[in-house]
Amino acid sequence: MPSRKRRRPRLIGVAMAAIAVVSAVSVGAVIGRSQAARPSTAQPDLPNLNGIWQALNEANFDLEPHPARAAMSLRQDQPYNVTTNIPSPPVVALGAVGSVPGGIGVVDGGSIPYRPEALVKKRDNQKNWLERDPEIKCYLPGVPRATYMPYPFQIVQSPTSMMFLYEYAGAVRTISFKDPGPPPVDSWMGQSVGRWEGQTLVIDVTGFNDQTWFDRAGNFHSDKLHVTERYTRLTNEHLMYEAIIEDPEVFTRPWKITMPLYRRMEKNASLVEFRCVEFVEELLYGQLRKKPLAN
Amino acid sequence: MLNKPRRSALLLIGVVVVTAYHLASVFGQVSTPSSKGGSSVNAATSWTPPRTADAKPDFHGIWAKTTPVPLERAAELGLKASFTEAEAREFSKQRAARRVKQIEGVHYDDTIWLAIADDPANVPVDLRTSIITDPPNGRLPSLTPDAQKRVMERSIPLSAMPAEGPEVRTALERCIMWVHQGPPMLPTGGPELNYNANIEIVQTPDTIVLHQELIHDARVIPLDGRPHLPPQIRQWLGDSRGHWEGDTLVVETTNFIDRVYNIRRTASPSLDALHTRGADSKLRVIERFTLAAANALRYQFTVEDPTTWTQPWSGEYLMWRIAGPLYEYACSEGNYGLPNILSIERHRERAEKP
Repeated sequence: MPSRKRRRPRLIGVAMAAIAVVSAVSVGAVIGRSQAARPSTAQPDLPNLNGIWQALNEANFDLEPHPARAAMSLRQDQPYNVTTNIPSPPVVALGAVGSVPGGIGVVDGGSIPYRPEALVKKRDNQKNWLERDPEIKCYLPGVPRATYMPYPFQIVQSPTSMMFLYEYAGAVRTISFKDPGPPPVDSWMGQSVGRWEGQTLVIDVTGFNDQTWFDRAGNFHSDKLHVTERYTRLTNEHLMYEAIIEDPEVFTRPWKITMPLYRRMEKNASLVEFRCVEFVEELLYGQLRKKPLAN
Repeated sequence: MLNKPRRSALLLIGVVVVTAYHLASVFGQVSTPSSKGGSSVNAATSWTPPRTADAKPDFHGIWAKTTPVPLERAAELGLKASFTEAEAREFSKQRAARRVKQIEGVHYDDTIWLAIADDPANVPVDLRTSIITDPPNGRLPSLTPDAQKRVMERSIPLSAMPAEGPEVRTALERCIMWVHQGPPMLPTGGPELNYNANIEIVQTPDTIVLHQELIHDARVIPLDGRPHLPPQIRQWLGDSRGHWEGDTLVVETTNFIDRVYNIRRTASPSLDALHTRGADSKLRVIERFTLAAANALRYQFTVEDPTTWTQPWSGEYLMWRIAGPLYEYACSEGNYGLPNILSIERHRERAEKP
């Protein structure tokens, strides 16, 4: 990875040259019409990604193709000796609200190429979802999961800076366009280094810890995770999002997810505080109360 | 002197990434103070700010909300708004001497930022005797009788907190909100609570982002004249709207939460009123940001709430450009402090039972 990073500045130079030639013609034709409606806040020769975006799919339930089921957490025992679709006791009360919509999946090729021992761990994670999914504890979501959680996120792009602001847990990423060197420390959201390849924003994300998941189905990674994200503006209201996921400790090869992202079109669309740390205190610390609350 | 309960609570907060040594590299570069008193950077110089493509002053960068100036003026100083340089040096020296030194065996090293804050070579001299500029005595105005009652009910000294459950602990211990997040962003409580009190600003023609290192909180401030969020939506950091008045960015914040919370009991009930938020549906904060020099951002604020204070109050200090980067401050993810506080109290209760 370090050698890849050092090559990046030269790639940026090449990309910038290419942009100068191509963008005025092709981009103008594709997005110029709709862009006129919004203030152009990015560099004039680069796509303007400013706005509030959201995925509209089932990826956060399970990246892989999956049928609908009763709950993320199903009963492990099988009454009457037949296969059942019964939620595990802690989520029974949620009824249909706690059930899982089916999804055709967002993984190119359909399935995630786990190493055999990692696949065992993934299945174990899924069985122990309630105890293990960091989303349940309101922990920072990591990348790419932050992108397709059921919350909007905002891109703020100026000619010199770019930030991604996620409603969920107030997660934040600052995208660096200069090589900051190796990540100084592992983190939940990683270190994001951006560059433009033609009209596509490419972000290399490294420096992760091994604590975040990809979805509610137990899909996980190690601290060797390297995510390469690609954001391509399709129209004023759509981005195409790709993330290439590399982690030789967990997967046999790099794999890719692809999905569109949609602009939130409501008048005065806005992120609203989602400070879920407070919401999970009873879950995490309720047993430490002087008088535990009645069920 | 830092009292013991406050200190232990601080040390117990689980912190994933803490280092402030990057402050040192650029603190030395800020302009030197004028000898006239008042702010150390004179806004009336001929210096012109760098501008963005849309001709607004360019605030991009990372700024430290750290100042040697105390929030309130010492009562014995009366209406004396400025120190001489010698007095300011002596004031800083005495404050540093009052501070408890690093104890062994904790998981992070606060000598790093304390050393920075104590070193006159790093921290620019600011000759003002208080952040508060109005009332003219540099002190918080008194509370209305209603507010006095409310605040005393709501804010409990940490040492007296029974730790009956997470909700009675401070927002800081719960990793919900840090003391200096504001608005207004007040560097109160001395450098031990100012650590990583840094903000990153990203600016476009229609939006300003104030990204605070603690606790990875970003205020996304629309500049497009849109109305505030509906009144039902109340937030810890309120709801901010900005506009330009000449070269000054003016931000108005309303919609603060109106539930009851402890944030942190300070020596001043009047300050607690701000920190405890709650029921202050009339709370309105105006902030003004002006570039004062290449490396200094003047931060001015006014706090209004007729149901709480007997008059509005205002203040200002200088934020200083630092090199950065901001580090991820994942707080609740490593918060072993709060469960430790609760479980220690439960152990104590069991031990005290006959």
